[in-house]
Amino acid sequence: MSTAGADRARRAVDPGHLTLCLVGFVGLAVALSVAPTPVPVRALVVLPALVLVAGGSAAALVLGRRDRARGAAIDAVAAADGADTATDGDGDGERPDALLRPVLTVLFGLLALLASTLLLAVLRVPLSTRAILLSTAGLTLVLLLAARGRTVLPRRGAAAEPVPLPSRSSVRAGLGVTAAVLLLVAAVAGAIAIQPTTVDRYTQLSLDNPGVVRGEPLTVAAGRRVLLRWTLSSYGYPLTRADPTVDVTVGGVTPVAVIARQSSPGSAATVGTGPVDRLAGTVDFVAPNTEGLYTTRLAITPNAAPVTDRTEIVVTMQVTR
Amino acid sequence: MSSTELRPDSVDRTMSPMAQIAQARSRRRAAMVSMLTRWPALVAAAAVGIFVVGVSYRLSAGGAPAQLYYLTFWAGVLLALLPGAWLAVTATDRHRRGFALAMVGLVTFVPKYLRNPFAPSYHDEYAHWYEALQVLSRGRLFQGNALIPIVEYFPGTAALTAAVTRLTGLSPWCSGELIILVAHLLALLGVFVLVEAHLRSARAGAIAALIYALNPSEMYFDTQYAYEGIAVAFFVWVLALASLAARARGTRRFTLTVAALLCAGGAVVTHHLTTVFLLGVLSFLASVGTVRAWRRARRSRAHVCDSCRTQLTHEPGPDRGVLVWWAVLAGTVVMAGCWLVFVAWPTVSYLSPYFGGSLRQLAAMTAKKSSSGRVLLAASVQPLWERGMTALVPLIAGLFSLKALLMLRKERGVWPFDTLALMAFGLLYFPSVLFLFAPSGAEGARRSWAFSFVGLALIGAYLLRRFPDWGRPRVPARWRTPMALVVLTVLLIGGVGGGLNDPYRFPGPFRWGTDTNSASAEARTVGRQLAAEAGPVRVVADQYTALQLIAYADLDVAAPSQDFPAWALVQSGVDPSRELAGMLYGSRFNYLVVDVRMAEQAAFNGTNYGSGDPLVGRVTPMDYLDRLDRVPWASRIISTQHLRVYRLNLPLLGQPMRGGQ
Repeated sequence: MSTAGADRARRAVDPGHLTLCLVGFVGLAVALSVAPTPVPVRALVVLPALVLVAGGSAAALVLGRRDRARGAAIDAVAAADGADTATDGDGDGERPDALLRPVLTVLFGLLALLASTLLLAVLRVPLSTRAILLSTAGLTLVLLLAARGRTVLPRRGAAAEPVPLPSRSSVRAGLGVTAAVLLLVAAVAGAIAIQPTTVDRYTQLSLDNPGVVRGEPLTVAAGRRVLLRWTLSSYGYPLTRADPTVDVTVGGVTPVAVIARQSSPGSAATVGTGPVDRLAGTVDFVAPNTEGLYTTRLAITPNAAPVTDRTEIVVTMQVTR
Repeated sequence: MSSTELRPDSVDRTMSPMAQIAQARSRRRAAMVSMLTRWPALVAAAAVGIFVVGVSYRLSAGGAPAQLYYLTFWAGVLLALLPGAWLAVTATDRHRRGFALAMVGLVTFVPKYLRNPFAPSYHDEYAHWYEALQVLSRGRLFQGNALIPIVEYFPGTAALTAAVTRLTGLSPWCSGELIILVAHLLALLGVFVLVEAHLRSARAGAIAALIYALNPSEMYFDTQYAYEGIAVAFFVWVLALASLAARARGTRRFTLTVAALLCAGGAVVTHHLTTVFLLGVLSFLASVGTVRAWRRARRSRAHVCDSCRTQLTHEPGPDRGVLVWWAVLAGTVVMAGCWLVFVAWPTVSYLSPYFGGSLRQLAAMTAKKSSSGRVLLAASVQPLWERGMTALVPLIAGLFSLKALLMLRKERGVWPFDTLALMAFGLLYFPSVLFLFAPSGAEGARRSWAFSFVGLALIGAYLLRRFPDWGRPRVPARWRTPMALVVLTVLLIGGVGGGLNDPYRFPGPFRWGTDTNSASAEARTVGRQLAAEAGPVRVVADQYTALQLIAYADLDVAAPSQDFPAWALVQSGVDPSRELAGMLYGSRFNYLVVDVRMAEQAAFNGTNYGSGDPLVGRVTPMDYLDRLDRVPWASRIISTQHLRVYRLNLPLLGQPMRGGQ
């Protein structure tokens, strides 16, 4: 059967009912978005519903009424001749918009999404889910009603044209496209899955004296005790119970009466950095007897394979009278 | 063509034996092509090709030889791309052609997507991802951005990402990738519609879309998550819709013009450079149309002969769309002007150094053979054959353009002004190639190709749709397909080769001095640790660590310049000057992050602190870094194997230290 014949035999739907269906579709999208719906459902239903209805309506406003019969006839002739001249958007405006209309639907959908978000920014409304949803859905409904008004309402008292339902061949083509997309997505997933994953293994030593970290000088009276707090974190490997080696020098000399303490290592849950073990400790020593600025070097060497590099923190200490 | 016609045994027995053999061969070839371009085969080829691209990335990430992973990559891309490209050009059904072009778009999107599917990796991606995160967390557009300050004033990308993220619940990164994929497909289909409208041939439209897909920016640069990828789609559609409007009448002309203006608005709020190019091309089109109309009016006043008048009937209306182009130009000027004045004024100071600087550098290089001239493709592991094809691209494009110009010379009165003007705009590609030799012009030259290739695609489609009827010498039929495939392959490989460099295209082991392969988990955790302990503080860091500190830890990183040479803290063996110390202290840049790998390897990109870096192309001496542990004005508060974080206490600058070190 020719395409035109198939179109004639196709079942049709009342345009008023179709409008109600589309409004309902937008309403469903809004409801799904507000309700605690899983992400895949929202991605596959909510976004396409809003974008495609808004974009399709805008495309209808721009391109006007579809001339299905003439479009099908021209397509059939072009296909039979092997010609490549069945153009969209030619001078008379009645040639088929077979490719232009769906592409413009997506383009205008994107623009509608952008416009509704910018509108919120102009109105100084925070970009919350609810605000974006309402503005996009509102714009979608306005465009839908305007488009239905322009393309569906009867002209000069004539009866409204019924809208044909998708033909069997269209449904088959849709299923084919879906299968193709699934296969390509599987190929992309496979290509991602074979990429090697690397785990960075390293140790981080940080000074836990908040005042020094924020910029207060480490000031201490000559001959008094000084306390430095530190945390050792291991990324990508576990810290063992074997105590790390702790070395302190002040002005290049080991100070007197050094007392080093540390807790047992423990795991800490962090986001996006992989497994982490932490070990907190302190080092306590006597400051020099001579006033001035000293370089205080605290070195920790974890005794845990595979990382046994010495890590240091170096603080300028001001010794006063 | 029916299946009966394709059967190799259905040979005409009345022909000579040689002719019969030739006919049978030709039919077998046609049958093979037909089978390979059927949907299941085409989709399967694309799927296998995509997987092979993944294999090439695995090889490069594992440190395999460059020859091997480049060959694997191109085998995958060609396997995935060529059947779709062939079908796009040869199909007669509009839906098949459209779907084939969509396949081409998908295949040219996938290599970049596979490069970093889960997080940003390119410099601009960090900036836009960070901007989207800021917009989502604060609920407002126009958030400051330390990586690319100008991004703040062009919120189109962040607005779309925020909308998709909020509506779907996808992560901002996934939402951004989805938007870029849609924009990428829209751009290709837009070129198809544009050229189809101009040359009145769907086949020409498909050829043009393919040529556009070969432009050096298409596979990697414009598929990264950044504003240009989205704005280019709007740019193409402004031209496509305005071209359709110029060829339409009545209400349809009006609505298409309004649609073109909406797309122009989308470009204006999304990307500055796209807006500049859009204004340029629209001005050119409108001016050419006006001049041509004026010349015609003058000629008609001089009683041009009727035969000439008949020749010009290709253009239906008296204005033939000049007013449409002026309307779109005027609307775009108003929108861009208002946006610039009321929202994005800092754009002027951001863009001006690129224009002025590159022209000065190019002039200086022309005047004297300077040793500072760029060596194209220097320090690259790119195979020689890919470099060779890259060098061939301007040559092939030049030859094709020359041939097209010779053909157009005889029939320029036949074609509408906008078709000719768009072709002339495409010729902008050739002078832009010269700018590759000027350090600050190279970026601009590359960035112009996404736009000028629209015109080049039109030229190519004009020429190739008439192939092989180019006159003598005629190409034998059996050589046409292989020739077309070879040229397509050379242009594709050469085009991509002329775009981004190896570390941008392929994953690999850690390599200091690249935006992509210098990213480390260490930098991210150090940044987060600093933010947790000290809050969102201001930091001095090299340009590679800065990406991680800003994007993952929301730290404010200094942008060094000649007026603010913050690099002197690290790239010098002496204390910073009092003036610099005053600036750092006064601006509360109280922290310094140092990656000691800059003392192990020279930066791949040449610099560690931007264009003013005093140690360009050199390794930072380790002593420069170690001396920070001996000065009174810096205390190392966080340390890992490779990163050191210092708290600066610059009032202590110049104070003597006691004791040994």
